[in-house]
Amino acid sequence: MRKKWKKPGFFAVTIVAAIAVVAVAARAAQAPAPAGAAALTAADYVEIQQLAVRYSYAMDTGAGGGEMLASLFAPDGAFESATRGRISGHDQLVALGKGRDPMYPRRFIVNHVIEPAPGGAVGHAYVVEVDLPSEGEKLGGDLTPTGGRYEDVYEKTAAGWRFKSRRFVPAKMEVPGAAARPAPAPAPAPR
Amino acid sequence: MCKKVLIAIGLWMASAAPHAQQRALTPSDYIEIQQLVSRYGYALDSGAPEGTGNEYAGLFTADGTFVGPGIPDNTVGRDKLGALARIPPGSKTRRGPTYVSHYLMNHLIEPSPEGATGKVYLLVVNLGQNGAPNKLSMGGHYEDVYARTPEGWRFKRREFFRGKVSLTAEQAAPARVFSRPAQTDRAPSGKGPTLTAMDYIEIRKLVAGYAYGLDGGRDNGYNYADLFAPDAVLFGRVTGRENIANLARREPHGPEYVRHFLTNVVIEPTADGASGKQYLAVIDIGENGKPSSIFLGGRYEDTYVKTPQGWRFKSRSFIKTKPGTPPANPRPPR
Repeated sequence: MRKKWKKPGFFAVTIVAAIAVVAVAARAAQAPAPAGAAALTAADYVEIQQLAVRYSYAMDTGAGGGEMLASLFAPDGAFESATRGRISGHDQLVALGKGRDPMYPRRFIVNHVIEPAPGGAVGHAYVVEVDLPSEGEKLGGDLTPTGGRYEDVYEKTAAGWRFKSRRFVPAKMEVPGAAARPAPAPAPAPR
Repeated sequence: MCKKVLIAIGLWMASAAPHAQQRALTPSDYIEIQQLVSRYGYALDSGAPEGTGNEYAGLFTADGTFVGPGIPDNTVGRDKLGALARIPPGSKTRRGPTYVSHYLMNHLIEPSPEGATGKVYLLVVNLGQNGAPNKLSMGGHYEDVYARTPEGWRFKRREFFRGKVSLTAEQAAPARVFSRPAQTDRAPSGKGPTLTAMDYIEIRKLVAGYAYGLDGGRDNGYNYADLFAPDAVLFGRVTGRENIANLARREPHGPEYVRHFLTNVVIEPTADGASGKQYLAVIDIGENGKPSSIFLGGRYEDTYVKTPQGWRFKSRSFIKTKPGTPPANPRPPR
């Protein structure tokens, strides 16, 4: 015998409508993703922000003897700069990340922009290095000549978001209308 | 049998759920904690409201504490915390409504059994007035414990560490594994205008994009101009896409140039969209081995509007630090 279809109650209709409204609102709130790129959720943005911040702590503290830095990169991830070349693979990244003074803030990273991209996400951020006085020294500090921009590619791995690549681009100024300036010497590359 | 299994699963879920809720942080939690930390610089530098330091005290839990060099050991509770930010009448301090000095960056947040912990870098900048040079006064990092209260996330404890410190066993420990946040947004609650987690994220992106638009000068200045709504007003006088693009063309720029460093991003919902503020340091990165220097600093105050193309600036004003006399002996940061 065929079961008689029961008209859904007010409660069920309300629940379904609420879910639909939330789903539509969530979709509308997200930035449009470029062709071939999946949209990023709020959680994705937050996790990538935190990944980028961890980089400073890993590099400045040498945590875990360089292991913390290596853990921020995907297995085939790489750091790249004009002066250091391409550094990839666990062992090279560990070597890059070890030997720092523990808890020494040096890399101040701001203006982090994240965009969805095919395969994951891309981003860029400003960096300036600061030499702070040691404990017991007089107050003060120096901005070093090292500053510029990181250009990143992020990949979502089984362990979470990781750097697929991070490239340092040193700051270079072009003054509008000014005569051609002599080419600056390459800035010391932050790592 | 089936019924017993269901009851057992139900009991297990009931016992497990509270622990899971305690440990996981939602994207909204991360954003609220980011906002709490961003507010710290404003509250301390301004002594708001009217030099009472109450805004600063209100960032802490009722039993909150601050620990740092030069700070009394028993700085616990809002009365004592408020005293750290208070500006006594007649004081010669440079702190006040338009003063900016505490630049906080690289904010790392971790879930913890009690709520959350965090770390953040600090630069204390003395912005020179009347032609005096800008200087870095102090730097280091904070280590925080955050607690969720009925008023929202608050500092349970904040400790400051200056520059280099000696190695301890704890500091030499291997890196901790990052726990992924839960993939859920908390629904906005309460009366009045609200913003979703995604709104906060997109406005932060807009604010960061300002620096790239101005310093990069891409697309003949239009990349910068297109951050603004069609009827936006910039610095109280510049309106219209062409005029705003012209402003970007006149500024030093280049595809690999960085100059505008913005941090302490605070965002508030409003009836028309949102408002916000940030600290700005314009840093000239030294070329040819020359040292870098701080060219200018201050604060931006913004309104934002959500357009079909996404969030855009409706207005942006620049507030310069009020002229004053630098303190003879800079105090340790709080």
